[in-house]
Amino acid sequence: MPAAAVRSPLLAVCDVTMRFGGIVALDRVSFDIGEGEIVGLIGPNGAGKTTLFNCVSRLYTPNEGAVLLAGRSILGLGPHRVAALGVGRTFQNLALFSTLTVLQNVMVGIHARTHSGFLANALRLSGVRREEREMRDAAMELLAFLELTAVAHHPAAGLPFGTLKRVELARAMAGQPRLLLLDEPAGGRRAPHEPRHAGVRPGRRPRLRPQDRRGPAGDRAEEPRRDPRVSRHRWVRGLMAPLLTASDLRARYGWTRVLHGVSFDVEEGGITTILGANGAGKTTTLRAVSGLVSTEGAVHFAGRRIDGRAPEDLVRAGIAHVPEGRGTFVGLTVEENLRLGAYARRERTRGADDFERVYQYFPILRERRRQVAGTLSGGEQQMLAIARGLMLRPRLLLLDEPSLGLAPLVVREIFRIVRAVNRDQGVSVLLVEQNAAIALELADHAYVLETGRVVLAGSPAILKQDDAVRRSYLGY
Amino acid sequence: MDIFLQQVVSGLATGGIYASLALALVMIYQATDVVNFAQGEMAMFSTYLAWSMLNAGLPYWVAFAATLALAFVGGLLIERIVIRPVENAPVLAVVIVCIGLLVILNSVAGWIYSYIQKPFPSPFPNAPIKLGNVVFGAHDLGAIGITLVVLLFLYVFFRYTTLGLAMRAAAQNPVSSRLCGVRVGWMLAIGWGLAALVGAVAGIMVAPIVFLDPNMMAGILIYAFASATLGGFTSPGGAVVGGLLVGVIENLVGTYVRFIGTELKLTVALAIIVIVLVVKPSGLFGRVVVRRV
Repeated sequence: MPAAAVRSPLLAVCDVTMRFGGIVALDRVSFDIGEGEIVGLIGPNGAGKTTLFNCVSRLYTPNEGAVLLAGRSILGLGPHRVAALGVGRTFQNLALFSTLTVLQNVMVGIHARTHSGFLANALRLSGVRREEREMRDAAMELLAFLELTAVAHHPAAGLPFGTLKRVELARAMAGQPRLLLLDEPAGGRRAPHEPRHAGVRPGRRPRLRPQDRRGPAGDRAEEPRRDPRVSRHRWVRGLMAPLLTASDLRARYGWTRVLHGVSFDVEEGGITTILGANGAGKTTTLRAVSGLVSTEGAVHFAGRRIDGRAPEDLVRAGIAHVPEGRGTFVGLTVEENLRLGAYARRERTRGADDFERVYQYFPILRERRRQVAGTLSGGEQQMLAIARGLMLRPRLLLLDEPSLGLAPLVVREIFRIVRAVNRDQGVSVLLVEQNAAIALELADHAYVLETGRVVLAGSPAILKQDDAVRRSYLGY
Repeated sequence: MDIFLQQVVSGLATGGIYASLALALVMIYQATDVVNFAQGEMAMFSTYLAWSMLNAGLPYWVAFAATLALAFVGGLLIERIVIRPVENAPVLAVVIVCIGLLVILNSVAGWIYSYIQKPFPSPFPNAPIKLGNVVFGAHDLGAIGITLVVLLFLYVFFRYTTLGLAMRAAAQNPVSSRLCGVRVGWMLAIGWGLAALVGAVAGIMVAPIVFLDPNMMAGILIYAFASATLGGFTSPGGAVVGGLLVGVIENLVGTYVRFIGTELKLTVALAIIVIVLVVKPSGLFGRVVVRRV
């Protein structure tokens, strides 16, 4: 038997089945992971990847099957015991302690392998103090490794998604795990060759400095100008007032300035995209438009000045904001989520045909309409979020990173639907994206944001040819 | 067996009252994460308003309806004026505000109406109702009926109306609710109003049994806490079931366990709180929220 014990894999998943009510999320899944091995788990959204992770890290208990860690069943153990046995994990949509600092978040991860007990901690014995000092040093070392030192004492709340993804990785590594489960580590991150800390350290951002371009980085940098289409575009623009005009938006969170005078237009009936790295200020820009953060500067919508007005009022004016992280009401059913989307509409005729219209674009939601939204897959939740926005019959749809954490196929599907909605319903779209390639394919007009400033603007066709954009945002 | 049935029914009657008050607590807790310690005193004050109106000669059901309306408006105003300023304050500050509210309502009621106990009429006949060999108090049966109507009304309101849906949404995800056009602040205020209304019903139904005085809700509130804890502070349905269970348990233990009798009944509530918190802190129906991470 000892020979067999030596050969037993680090993790063995045997015939694991997981059902949520009538929905089978995992159907007899089996695989092994050997010590030191890297195993990729690939599948579209809703395939059950996250559910499987939740089974292994013991957040879920599978209905059938076994999960063995180094030959020992872990199904009888609580999640904290599994973590102590050396299984670290990250989460698709982040599960950090938002009020703790980055350093504290990582120290929590080390806690799983500390030894001093509750009583010793309460009495603050010297051993405990030493242990805590060591923990802090180890955490700082990890942060340095992941180039997070600059934000070590910053609260997790308010940092960009990609940075937080790295903090989560640091926390998972802090437990010195034998097995590391990474749930969509690339979600919300830029192409691998790009500077890892684009959102963190202003000194080393992607090479898109003003001197690289012709002329200063103006507010409305219509660069590059060579293409005649741009000038035609400007001429048309002169005739028709844009649906939305933002001029010189400035915003801050606490003492951190996030927007330094951002200006852009959204054409009626078109798709406008704002590209940029983590921390460039894209989400803040959208939040400024929909009234969730207060800004200096002016925003005009359909000829009216709207900055300083409450989001509730702007919804009634016809602006639907699909926020970062989807904003699903996880405890309500799909249908109730959609009903809420139409809440602000004045006419009380909203009814079956509205649902019908939305289900036409998202047939999967019709099937799931009685299901609690929290049990949907990531892709389905994103679809639900967009569908909820459409229930308003908005004039302008604000989309915040709809591709976040989703498989490429699902992203294609969602963007296809956004295009169809824009074409069929005449809904103008303001899309904020990190996935520049697909956003540029979709959009009629694009802006590039960098640390709170518009550094480039123009038609997508031209931006795609711009070397700087290609290098920094498209990865070819 | 007859005595057993009688005690169960009368337990359900008081249980219904605990259930209403527990539901009021849970509604506010769900929406604002505040445990409203003043819930009982708000109910007591509403009952005094009903008493004043009855004394002025209004018919019972008119006074009843008017009291509910006043309680609703009162709850709404309390949220807007007293709770709103401490909305983002630490939990402890909010708890202190609630306790302050409790003391103020109690003293004002004592100042206006004095601390002398007053009888409060029941709308139901005095004669007991006989079903077979078992005799039930008419007020008990009536109170059960009224409680059920109120609960049904709330269920339909939250489940099927758009306003109810908006209130649930506002409690769950305020930011997304705002982006749907829901005025979250008003939803919370309406939640307080509804909780005050439900509490008023409980007060009016319990007053004929315990008599009217400014301290009448102190014990009831503890039973309501026991009920909400038993059912789970995160589950409105659980609070109702918990209330009925606590009412029945309290009555049966009082009847059959000699040394507890009526003197030590309140201890049962405290024992229930302690046992639930030790054995199953989330309560019988308190959901451990399942969410994709």
